[in-house]
Amino acid sequence: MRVLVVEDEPALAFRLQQVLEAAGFAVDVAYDGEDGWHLGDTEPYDAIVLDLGLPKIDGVTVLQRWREAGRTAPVLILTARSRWSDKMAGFNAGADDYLTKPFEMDEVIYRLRALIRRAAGHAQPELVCGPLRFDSNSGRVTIDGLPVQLTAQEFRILAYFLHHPGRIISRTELMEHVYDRLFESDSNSLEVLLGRVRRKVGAGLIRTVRGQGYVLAEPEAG
Amino acid sequence: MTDAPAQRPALSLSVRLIAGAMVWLALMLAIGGGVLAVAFRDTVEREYGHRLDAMLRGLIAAMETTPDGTVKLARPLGNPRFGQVYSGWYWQITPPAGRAVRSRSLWDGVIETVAGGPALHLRRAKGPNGEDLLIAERDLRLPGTDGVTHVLIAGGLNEIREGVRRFDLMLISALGLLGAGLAVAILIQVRFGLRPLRAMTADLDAVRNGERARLAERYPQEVAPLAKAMNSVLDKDAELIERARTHVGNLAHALKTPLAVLSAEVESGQDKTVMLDQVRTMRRLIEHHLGRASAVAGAERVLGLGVPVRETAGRIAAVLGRVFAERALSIDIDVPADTVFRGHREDLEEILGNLMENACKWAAGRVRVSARQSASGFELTVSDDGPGMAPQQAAEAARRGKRLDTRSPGWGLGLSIVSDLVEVNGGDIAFSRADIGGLAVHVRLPNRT
Repeated sequence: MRVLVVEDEPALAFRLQQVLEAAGFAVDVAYDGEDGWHLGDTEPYDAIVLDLGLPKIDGVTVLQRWREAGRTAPVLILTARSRWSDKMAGFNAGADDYLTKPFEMDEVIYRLRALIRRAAGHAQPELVCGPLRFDSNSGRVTIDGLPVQLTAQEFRILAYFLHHPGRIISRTELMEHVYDRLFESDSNSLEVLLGRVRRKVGAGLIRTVRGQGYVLAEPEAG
Repeated sequence: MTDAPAQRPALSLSVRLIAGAMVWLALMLAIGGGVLAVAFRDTVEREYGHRLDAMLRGLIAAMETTPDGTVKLARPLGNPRFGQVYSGWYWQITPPAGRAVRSRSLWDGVIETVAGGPALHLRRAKGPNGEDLLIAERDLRLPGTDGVTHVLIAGGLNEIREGVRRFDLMLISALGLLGAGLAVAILIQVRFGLRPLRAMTADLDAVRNGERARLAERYPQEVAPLAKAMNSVLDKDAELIERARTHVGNLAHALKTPLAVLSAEVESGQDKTVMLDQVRTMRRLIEHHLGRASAVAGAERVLGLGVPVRETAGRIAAVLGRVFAERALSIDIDVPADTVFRGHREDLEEILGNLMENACKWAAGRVRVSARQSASGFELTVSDDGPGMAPQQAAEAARRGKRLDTRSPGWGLGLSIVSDLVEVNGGDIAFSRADIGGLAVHVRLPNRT
């Protein structure tokens, strides 16, 4: 799961990046409206955290431009303005959720997970595939009720599969949603990563579709 | 700002008053003078005509008809100027037959006769010397003659022109003097009349410079309401500033305690839960004071047009539907289409938004919004089917901005903001158990006139 944070206050942006990475997200950060708009317009983020008071281009305008260009990534707005009239302006521009500053980091994570899950079309917080269960609120993965220990990158791969069960996911798509912009990666390291995930959750769950990519599905009976 | 040419300042009141009065005065004096001059000339000419008529009668009385039918004067006329050539005074008698008899002054000139009648006829004509004449003439039927004898006497108009010119001169100087006098009176009157406005300008300058707090109350009745209105604006401003000052003070003082705890904690224990608690307290204080400040500021403004309640509630419900998407809440809006809130859109959004958001947080599946506009005021009820809380508990939350639920941040704060908004708008807020199970919040706002 890869997210974009657009926040002009460096301390807050850094802290958000830290916390979100610790929670298992790949995080890109933009410090002004122009960079933020450009990244959101060109990279396939699973969700975006957008401050409204930004230099160069304000947040509402950035959001409107994304929506006009057909970018549908769920957007969580951050702002110091707490009146409902301000919130309405944000939602009118196309926001999906809203947090007023100061906020608690846990709340950001909670809301982001919910946004990503809903954007993938899941109404329930628990995503299930065979013996595999993923609680999107807590970010815990279990197999047959037993917790699975995953590194951040392994978690991202698995979470992405779990959000799109049964869909063939290409290698490129997987890389785009697992690594952040600055990460130097090659397809070999992705193979290695996938191998580790398969070992941890059971080999039958993630299958390779030749020439197309990978798919997460319940193992066929027998 | 557009780059349109700068607007000329409006004409000053003094210029308007003075210029207006002066133009009118000049016009009236000119018309009056003209009428007087014409009337005088007319009167003088008429008098002259009467004099000529008297002379004509004298001429007629002195006429004698000789047996051969010619006419001659029995005695000379009194005025010696009839004897002076081209003196401007002439007489002429034209019998029906034979030569006309003329005054010596006519020399060999003749005055054209015009068929008149037995009555006196006055007319203007040119004399033999080119001079302007006034002619008095009659037709007579003399005994012993057939036909009419035309008798006329002419006098030069120069005689009276001199008098008329002198009168005109006098008239012009008199009217000029009158005009000057009136102009001075107008200037004095305008300056005197506008003095209170100048005093008010000076007063306002003094207020702006901080030399005094408000305008004096000694203005004449035409501008006193202005001064009074200005004073009430100034008073309201002062009150607002005072209130804002109190607010800032309250907030600053309220923040000092958690700050003290925080700094102590940073220095020593670094217990994260204690620090987080203090941060939460500070956040709550800030939100509470911000909400209150905007509520108070909003109430001071003049009320605009009504805000449609059903539409506003619908938009908020759409937003909340997205925020609470996974709960699949059903939000019923039971508001007649024509219900309007007579106040600011932001206030209605704030009240509805906070109440509906709270209801959504607590609801098991249903939230209901109902509103009515009645003669007594605007009534709004937001209820949910959640576990609810004791009405006393809710009232406590509203009063203190206390947070009762740590799971959903901001709970309690919303109620407190609504409570403040309702209070400054002169309404009241009440809590009860909803008929669908949870908490029902009732807001009643009085109608503004």
